[in-house]
Amino acid sequence: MSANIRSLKYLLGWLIAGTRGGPTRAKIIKALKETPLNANQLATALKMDYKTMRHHLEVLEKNKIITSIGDRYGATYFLTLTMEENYVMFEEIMKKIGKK
Amino acid sequence: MEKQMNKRLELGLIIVILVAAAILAAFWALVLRNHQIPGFQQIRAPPHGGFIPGDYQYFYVANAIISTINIALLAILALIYVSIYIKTRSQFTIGLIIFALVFLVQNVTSSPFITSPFGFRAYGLGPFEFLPGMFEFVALTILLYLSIKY
Repeated sequence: MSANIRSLKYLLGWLIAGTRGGPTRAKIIKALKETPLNANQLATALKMDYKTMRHHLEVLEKNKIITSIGDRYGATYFLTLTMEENYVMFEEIMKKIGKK
Repeated sequence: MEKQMNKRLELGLIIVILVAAAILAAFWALVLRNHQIPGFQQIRAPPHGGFIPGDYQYFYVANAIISTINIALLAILALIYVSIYIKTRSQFTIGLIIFALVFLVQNVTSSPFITSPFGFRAYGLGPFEFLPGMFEFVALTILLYLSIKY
């Protein structure tokens, strides 16, 4: 389990601080922690382009950070169980990242 | 507590492996040098006649091109990481910036455009002159792709 957490931490590091779309993805994770939303709602809430939002959701879903229920376009997204259980770790990473 | 122990054990193991690899390589190189085993060129002198079959000029031209592309790739990578750092101020990104910069220096110091003005040049390497750089190019392309596309 501890190894699993460590790999999640490393993965989050890459997805947030190692790639260009990172800061946006951090916002998405935060929003989904509060309430599950679909791509359209997320795009509106974060004032983002719908296509960009879909791209980020795809990346996060592929990396098992979030998961979805429903058909492709109306799907509701929420955090995976592992991510929920280790949300503190995400907060720690965000704390280290000076808000900008 | 147990987790910390595991981490220390892991770090210790890594250091032991690295030291063992260094000792083995040094031992191997020294022994081969002293016994003059054919096929292992330790002494830095051209062979009799100065001709090494299969050592074509094209390989060196290829290396000059590939290594320059690699330098460009690393400069782009470093810039991307700097732009991410400006947005995130993350320690993780600092690590990536240092990685890209050090790798950049490594490539610059081995570039023929830098080594030849100092009067040094590679010789007798054959295709092994450009092969490492070519694989490095593949690796860097993947890293750049992941950093941009994601």
